[in-house]
Amino acid sequence: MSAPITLTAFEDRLFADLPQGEVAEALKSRGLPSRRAEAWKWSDLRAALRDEKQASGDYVGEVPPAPLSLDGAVVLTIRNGTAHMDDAALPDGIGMTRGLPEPGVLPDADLASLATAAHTLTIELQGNPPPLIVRRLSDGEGRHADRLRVRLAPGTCATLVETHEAQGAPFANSLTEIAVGEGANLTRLIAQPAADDAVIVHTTLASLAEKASLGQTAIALGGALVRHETRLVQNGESHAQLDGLYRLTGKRHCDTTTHVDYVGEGAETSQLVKGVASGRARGVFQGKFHVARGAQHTDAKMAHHALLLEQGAQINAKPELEIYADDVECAHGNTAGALDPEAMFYLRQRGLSEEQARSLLIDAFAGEVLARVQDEGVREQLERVFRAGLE
Amino acid sequence: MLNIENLTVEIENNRILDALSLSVPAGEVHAIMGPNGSGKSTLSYTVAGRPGYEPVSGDVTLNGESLIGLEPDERAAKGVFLSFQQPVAIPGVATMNFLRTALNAQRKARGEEEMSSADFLKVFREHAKTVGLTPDKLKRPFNEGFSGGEKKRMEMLQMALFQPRFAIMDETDSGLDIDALKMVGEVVNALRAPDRGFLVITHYQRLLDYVKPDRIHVLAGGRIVHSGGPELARELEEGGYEQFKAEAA
Repeated sequence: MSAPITLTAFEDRLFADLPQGEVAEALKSRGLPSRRAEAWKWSDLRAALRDEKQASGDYVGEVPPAPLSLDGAVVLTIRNGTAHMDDAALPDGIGMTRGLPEPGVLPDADLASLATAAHTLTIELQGNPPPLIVRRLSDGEGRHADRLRVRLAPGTCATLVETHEAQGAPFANSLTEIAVGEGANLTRLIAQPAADDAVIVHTTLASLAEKASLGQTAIALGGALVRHETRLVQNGESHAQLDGLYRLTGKRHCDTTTHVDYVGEGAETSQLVKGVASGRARGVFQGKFHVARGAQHTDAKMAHHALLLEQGAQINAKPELEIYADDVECAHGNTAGALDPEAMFYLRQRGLSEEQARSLLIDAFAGEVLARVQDEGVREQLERVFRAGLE
Repeated sequence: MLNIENLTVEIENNRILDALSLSVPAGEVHAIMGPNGSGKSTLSYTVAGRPGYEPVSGDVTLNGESLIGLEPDERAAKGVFLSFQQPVAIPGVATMNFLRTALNAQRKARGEEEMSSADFLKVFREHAKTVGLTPDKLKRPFNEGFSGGEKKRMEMLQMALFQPRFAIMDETDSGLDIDALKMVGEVVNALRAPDRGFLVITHYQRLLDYVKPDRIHVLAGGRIVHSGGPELARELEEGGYEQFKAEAA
C-alpha cells in the first residue's frame, strides 16, 4: 500500500465535482496518471494539469472549417462535452440515443473511467449507413468529458470520422467505445489539428467480433499534452489496421498508445505509425500486442518510425509483444533518426532548396502511411491536415 | 570555365586535398585518374558544395565566379552538375515529380521560364530512351529497386535533362557493362559544346575509349601530380600510379 498522495489543485476540484461512487474513490486514491505510472511515463498528465480548472461552460468560439468532410455525411458536434444533434433528420442505418451517465471503473483506463461520469451518446449503425462525422469542439479554459458508444450491427459497413478541434486551453477527455459486430467493417479516421495550449486525452475501447474489420488512421498534430489511446480486443479472424501519423512542432506533445488483445484464433493486425518532430516537440509511441494462449495463428505486425528534424525534438517509443500462443507471426520494428544527409545533398545538388528538399523527404516519409488509406478523396484531406502541421 | 586554385580540404582534421590546382577550359573534357583514397570524391563534393566539405583555403570558380560559400542548389542553378558515384534511392519520392521540380527550381533561380508538364514529359521521355530506362522503372519512386547500372543510367538521364554548364562525373563507369559505357559516351558526346565542360573521374581507362578526354590528370595525395594528353590513360593502365607518385615527391 503506498502512502496517500497529495492532490493537486486541479485534482481537488475535479474529484469534488465527481459524483460519489467507485470512480471517484478509485481516482482519488491514485490521482491522475503521472510519469510514475509506467503507461504514462512519457505523458505526465498530472503535471500538465496542476492548476484548478472549472467545469467548462458553453462553447462560445467560432466553429472552424471542418478538417475532414465526406459526401452525404451526417455531422454530429460535441461542444465542450455536450452533444448537439438533430435526431429527426437521421437517415436510415443510423440510430442515436442520449443516455444518462453510467459511471464505472474501466480496467487499465483511468481517463476512460473518468469520462464515464459524462452523459452517454449511443449510436447504432447498420447496413450501409452514410459516413458519420463526430466533431469534438473545445474552447475556454475549463474541463469537460464526453462518452460516445458506436455499435455496428453484424455485416454493417460504415465510416466514422472523429475530430478533436480545440481552441484556448481546455482539458478535453473523450471516450469512444466501439463494438464492431460479426462480419462488419468500420473505417475510422481521426484528425486532431494542432492545439498549442489544450490537453486532450482520447481513449478508445474497441472490440472486433469474428470476421469483423477495422481500418483506423489517426492524423495528430499534438498540443500541450495530447494522447490518443486505442485499446482493442480482436476476436478470431478479425482484421485491424491501426495506423497513425503525427507531425509536431514547437513545444507540442503527442502520445499514440495502442494495446491489442488477441483472444481468438487467426486475427490479423497491421500497424504503421510514423511521426515527424521538430523544435522542442515530443512524440510518444507505445504499442503492445498481447496474444493470449488460445490465440493461435495471430498475424500481427507493428511498426513505428520517427523523423527528428532538430536537436531539441524528442521521440520516446516502446513497442512490445507479449505472446502466450506458440503458433503466431508477430513482429515489431521501430526507428528514429534524422533526415538522411545523403538524400538531402542529392536533392539539393539537383537544384532543390533546403526547404524544398526537406519537405519532399518528409512528404515521402509520411506518404507511406497515407498510401494505406484506400479512398483517394479522404487521403487528400488527411494529407492537408498533416501538412498544416508543417507550418 | 572551371578553375580550381590551391584548394585545400580537410575532413575530420585529415588533409584530403592539398593545395590542388586544376583548370578545365570551356569546351573541353578532362579526366582525373588516381588511386583509391587520393581525394577524387572529395574534389567532386567540394565543387558541388556538400555540407562538411568547405575548403580550408583556395578557390573554385566557374566562368570567373567563385562557387565557395554558395549553397549546393545555388551551384546547381549556376550549372554545376554532379553525377554521383553512389546515387541514393529515395523511397516515396516520385521520380518525374522530383526531376521536374528540380529542373524548374534551377530555371527559376536563373530567371528563366518554368517548363510545363507537357514539355517536360516530352524531353524526359526522349532522354529516358537514350539512356535505356523503360517507363515502368520511371514510375517507381526515385531509384527504388534499381541496380547499380540503372542508377548510373538515371544519372546520365539527369545530366541530359539539366543541360549543365559544367558536369563532374564521379566514377560513372563503375558497375557498367560495355553497352552502358557506350551509352555514357553518347550522352556526353551529344552534350559536348563550346561553352560546356566536363570533369570525368575514373579508375579505368576503358571509359575513356568512349568519352575522349582532352587532358588527363593524375591525382595522388590530394594534388595533381601529373598531367598529359589522352595517351596518358594507357601509360597509367600499364605502369600504374607509382611512377607519378615518385615524380611528385
